[in-house]
Amino acid sequence: MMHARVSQITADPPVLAGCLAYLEHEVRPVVESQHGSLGLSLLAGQEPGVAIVESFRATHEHELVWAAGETEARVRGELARRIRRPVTAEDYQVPVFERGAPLRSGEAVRLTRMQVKPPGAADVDDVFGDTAVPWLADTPGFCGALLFAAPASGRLISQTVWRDRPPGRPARAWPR
Amino acid sequence: MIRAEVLDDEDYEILAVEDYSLVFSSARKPSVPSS
Repeated sequence: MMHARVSQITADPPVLAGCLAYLEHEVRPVVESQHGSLGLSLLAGQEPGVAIVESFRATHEHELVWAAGETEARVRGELARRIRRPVTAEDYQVPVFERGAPLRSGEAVRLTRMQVKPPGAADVDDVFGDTAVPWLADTPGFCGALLFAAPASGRLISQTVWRDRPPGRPARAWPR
Repeated sequence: MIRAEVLDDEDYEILAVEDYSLVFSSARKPSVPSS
């Protein structure tokens, strides 16, 4: 199953802007050239000073190799140096990966963090993949959906990407 | 949708809803089945 390593970075906006540039221009080419890499995503918070980095791998074994590698340590160290605090990461399975259209910079991303009692994680996987995603895919502006799952802890994150803004969000909250 | 279908059970809780803007994404599905 596809896996992902997710990190949240919080810093003053000018510092964070430097981190985003570092990730896009220096880290991205390195990560994407790694064996087993399935790409990298970078999200900037609607509230200033927050960003999310998502690194995708083909298998859990690829994830373990990356996590233990020198490049991962170097990137994490450089980010920590810039924001002056440690950068933590969470590892997830990615049981749902749906892409309705090619993704473009500036599109709106909504993350919903959920906690389930661990036996229920598989139920959410099924409902999200079999019921929610087809419904979302018929909604105008839909670009993609992911589900990150950590079954042992019951942590889940659904992620949807929208051309303009998620349904139900006031337009003024989404400057383009 | 998930809330309607599943989260009426006390075993499930939405912790946070966060909005972001995509900087870039090169994420893609595996080209071959993986374990």
